[in-house]
Amino acid sequence: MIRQLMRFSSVPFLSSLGSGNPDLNSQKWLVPSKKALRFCVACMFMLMAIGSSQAQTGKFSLSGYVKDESNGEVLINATITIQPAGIAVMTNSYGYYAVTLPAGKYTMIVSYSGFKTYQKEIDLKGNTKIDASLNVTAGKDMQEVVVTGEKRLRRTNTVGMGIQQLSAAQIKKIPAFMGEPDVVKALLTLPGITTVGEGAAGFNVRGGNVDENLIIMDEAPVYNSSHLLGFFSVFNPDAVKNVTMYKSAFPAEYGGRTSSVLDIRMKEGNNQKFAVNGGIGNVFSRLSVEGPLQKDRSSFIVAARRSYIDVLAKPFLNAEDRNSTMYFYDLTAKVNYELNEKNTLYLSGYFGRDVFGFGDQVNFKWGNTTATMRWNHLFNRKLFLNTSVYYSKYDYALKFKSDDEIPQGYDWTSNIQTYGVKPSLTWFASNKHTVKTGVNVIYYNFYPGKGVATSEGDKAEIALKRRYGSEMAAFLEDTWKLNPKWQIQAGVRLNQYQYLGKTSVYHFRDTTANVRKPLDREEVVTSKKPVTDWLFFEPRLSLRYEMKKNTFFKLGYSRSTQYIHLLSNTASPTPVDLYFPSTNNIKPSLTDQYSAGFVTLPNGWPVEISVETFYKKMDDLLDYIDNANLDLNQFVEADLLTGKGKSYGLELEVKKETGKWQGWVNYTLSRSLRKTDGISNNEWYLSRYDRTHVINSCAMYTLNDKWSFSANFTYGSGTPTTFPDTRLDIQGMAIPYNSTNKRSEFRLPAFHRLDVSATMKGRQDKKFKTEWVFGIYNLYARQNAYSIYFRQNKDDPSKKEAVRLSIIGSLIPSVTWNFKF
Amino acid sequence: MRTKVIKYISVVVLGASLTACERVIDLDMPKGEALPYVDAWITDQPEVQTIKFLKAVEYQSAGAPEAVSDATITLTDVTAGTTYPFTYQNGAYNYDAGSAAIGIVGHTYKLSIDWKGEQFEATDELKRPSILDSITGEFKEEKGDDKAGYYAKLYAHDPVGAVDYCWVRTYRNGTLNYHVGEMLAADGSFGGDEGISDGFAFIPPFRDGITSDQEPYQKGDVVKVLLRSLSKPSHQFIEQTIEQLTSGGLFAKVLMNVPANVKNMSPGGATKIYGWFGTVAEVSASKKME
Repeated sequence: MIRQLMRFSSVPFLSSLGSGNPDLNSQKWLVPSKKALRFCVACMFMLMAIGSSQAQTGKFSLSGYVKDESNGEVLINATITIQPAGIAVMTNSYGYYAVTLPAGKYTMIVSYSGFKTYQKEIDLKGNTKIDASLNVTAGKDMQEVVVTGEKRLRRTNTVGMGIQQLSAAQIKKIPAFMGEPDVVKALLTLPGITTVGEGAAGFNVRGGNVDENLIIMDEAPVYNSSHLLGFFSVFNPDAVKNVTMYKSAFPAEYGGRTSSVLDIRMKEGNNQKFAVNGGIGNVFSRLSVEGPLQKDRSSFIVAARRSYIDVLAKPFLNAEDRNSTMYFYDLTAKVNYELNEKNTLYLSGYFGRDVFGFGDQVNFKWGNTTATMRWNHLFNRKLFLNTSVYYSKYDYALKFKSDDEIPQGYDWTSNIQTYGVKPSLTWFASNKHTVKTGVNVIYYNFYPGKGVATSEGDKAEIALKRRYGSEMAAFLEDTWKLNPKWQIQAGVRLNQYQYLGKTSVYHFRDTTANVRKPLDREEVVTSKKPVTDWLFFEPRLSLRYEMKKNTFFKLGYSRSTQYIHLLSNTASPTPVDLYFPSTNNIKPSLTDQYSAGFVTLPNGWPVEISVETFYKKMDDLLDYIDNANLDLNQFVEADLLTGKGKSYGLELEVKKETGKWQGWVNYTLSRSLRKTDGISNNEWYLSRYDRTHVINSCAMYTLNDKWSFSANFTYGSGTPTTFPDTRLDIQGMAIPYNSTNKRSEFRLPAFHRLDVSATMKGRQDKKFKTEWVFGIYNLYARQNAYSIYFRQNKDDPSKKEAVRLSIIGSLIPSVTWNFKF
Repeated sequence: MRTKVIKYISVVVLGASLTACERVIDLDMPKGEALPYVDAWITDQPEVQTIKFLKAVEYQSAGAPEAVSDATITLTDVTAGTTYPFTYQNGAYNYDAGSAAIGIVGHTYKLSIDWKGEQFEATDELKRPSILDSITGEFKEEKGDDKAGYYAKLYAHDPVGAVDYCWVRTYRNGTLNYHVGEMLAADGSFGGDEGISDGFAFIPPFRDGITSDQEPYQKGDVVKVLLRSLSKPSHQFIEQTIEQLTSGGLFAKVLMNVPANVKNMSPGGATKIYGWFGTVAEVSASKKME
């Protein structure tokens, strides 16, 4: 089976695992991973055997897909309730559900946020397949929804904690920077998710670093989630179907990152009719085309965006500046084909670039490329197999050239590539058990960088050694409804990581902490045999107890490990930071997270109230020696340190998702600390993402069919910072110096901002729909501090100044026109 | 190099955000310890050599740092075995080398400080200088963001062989020009220890880097460029110093203390002296803008 899967993939390395390369196959090192694989394959076979042999007496299965009627898109995590049996299940990531019931008469109710409830009477006499198609609620129907009393639960119907979900429609309702709805910016309105400042790339979850978030788009990892540094994210909202964020107790199928999982699923495309969606805004334009290739069976979507701030600005610039370019674009595409009732194929891809330049003298480019092929297979109604094969690459290239007659220049390239295979099997065993198992094999190829300098005909080159790594994981998880009160989701993940050869392995001597480690020797490893490997056992456990109707108590524990690290010691990660594997010198980091919480839907109130607390213990987190050299440094490992971390906090949220008024208010009280030998006097210090208090509130009001309004307010304690308390005057330079040597003893001023937007629906024909979105970002023009730094006054060097940098220094109005036909 | 790229991107993006702004603010700054530190740079030039031994002041203090006068400071040419006693006078320790210079290319020097009964030492090696070919100047009209004025260019190149580190300092009419930053070259380029650009002519960022496009020179200004050779440790010190002097923008780093190379040699000695001892060979050229 695995070998078939390997062959299925065209990735050379992966196929070599199966049978290809005898040199590798004979290696002893494969043994543990083979064990892991075997374990999982055994589990899968067992499930298949059990699944297919189960002809339960007098019981039948009810299964099918839940779809959006208007476009045939499957709905993820829709809730199916069967009455009077009182059974509630949810659709999986592919919109599939299955329940087992004794013969009899039932009412099936399907609900999904933002959609009308689907209801059907069933007389179950045999195995039955029902595909439910749901209709979107129009604005005016929202009142009805309240009347029916249908509660659209989220936190209440998942076993795990710290799960946050957003649909594309919800994302579009939040007032956005420059009027452009954005996945990551929307996440920042949720509790526990913060950023170090406006314009900063990525996001921090519960006191974790940016690189600790596993961001996957249709299963393929995305290494840089930002366009234009951190102003926009790379996900085109027109192509995004569903966004699920796991802040704690990750399901066992996810691994390789320690802070969070952001699972982004792309739209499949309308399989009913052709549709064109688009928008024209201040910053960029969007256009997406989708439609059936074969009605009901196959569809496609192609979505593109391009920013044109440079094009718009051109007429206003002088000749010199007209040469400068700064834009980004991205292209997202997906096709799916239902081969038959049991098999569906999906192909999806993403390509995005950010381009900066100045004439032909300066040219920087960077971006992600991902490709995913998925195959859904139903062995029988209860046994669902998804196999994903994916590829992901992040690369950048920088070029400088002088405009002299004899050109001088500097070229620099770097990338990281990932190949992965992930077959996973879901067995809807009974109404009490849903079992999920699978394997995940990932191969990493790091190309840390090559620099080529040319000067007056001379050419010089420096290339850092490639690094290779592989990750093999097997997982097994059971979601078990113990009784009507208790539910358990228990899983294990066995993760093996290997740092592979075919590179130079550096051995360093120990030295004082926070001092560059001296090189002991360089060992050239010619074959790709593992240099170092680690095996981790990662338990994942979630418990849910229904204390009384619609009031739940939850507990969660998860262990997760991480083998790749973003080398970045700046306030915000930059697009030219490197990803680097765990090596013989860098241990993988490990995080244990404990969480507990309540969620309730108070009687008679259309709101959801939740309280969550968490405690995270982090080991072997990456840190840097003072003044570390992360630039094209062959011996960069000598500049890295590992330390400990911990974070804890309380997250409160009240949410209302029905009626004319919708929105949420959340408050987070938290702490995020680090401790690394050699830094801050070896004492605990605040991490730079620590924010004591964070408040987010978002309100949306639908006035009538034409107008709707929304507002978003955010407040956060200033991020920790280090100020100089003294200075050294050396050779006319006033060097800021911190005599205490303690980090993060101060904070920037608190951050707060209010954004508002209004949406006016224009023509709403059957064939052509338009809307205008007017927005003002940072309504009261607050100049939030991004950083404070220190300098000598250039005209009067005896004056020393503290300078506050604000990335957004004013209010920013925006207008966007969206259309659909 | 990457730092340059990052700074460049940061500047472009902040420019593009149109509303980004920097404000000088009043900040209640902490008051730190008056750390003792040296500012000790020995050159290969004749006449008086000066070593400063000071007590650090608060960052924003307008006053000059107080001098430590009760130390005995000696410099030793380890290679030649010569010793130079420095004497305290007018806030600094001096030695008049007369027409013969103390500094000789290739020699190793040791700074010895005897202070409060404890012995301190630092060493550095004096490296060969880069080659300064010429400085040119021409008037340019306002162009884009660049102001009108005289633009000076530096033509210099790296001597062949070994990795040569060079500290480029620019003076306007005899005083350090703070409108252009301190610059550091390795083999005439931005590289590190790889020696990949050995023998290179100094690349354009250095060539154009002696003029600020916001504050170009005026007619009659005398532009002086001083190239100082640096040993690898001194290069790292200056590199880290520059990082702290220019640590702003979107990708600011955490404030990090610059290293020190003065070691306490007394057994059980608890006092620490901060700052840096460096030995440099200097070459310079001047050009009047006209």
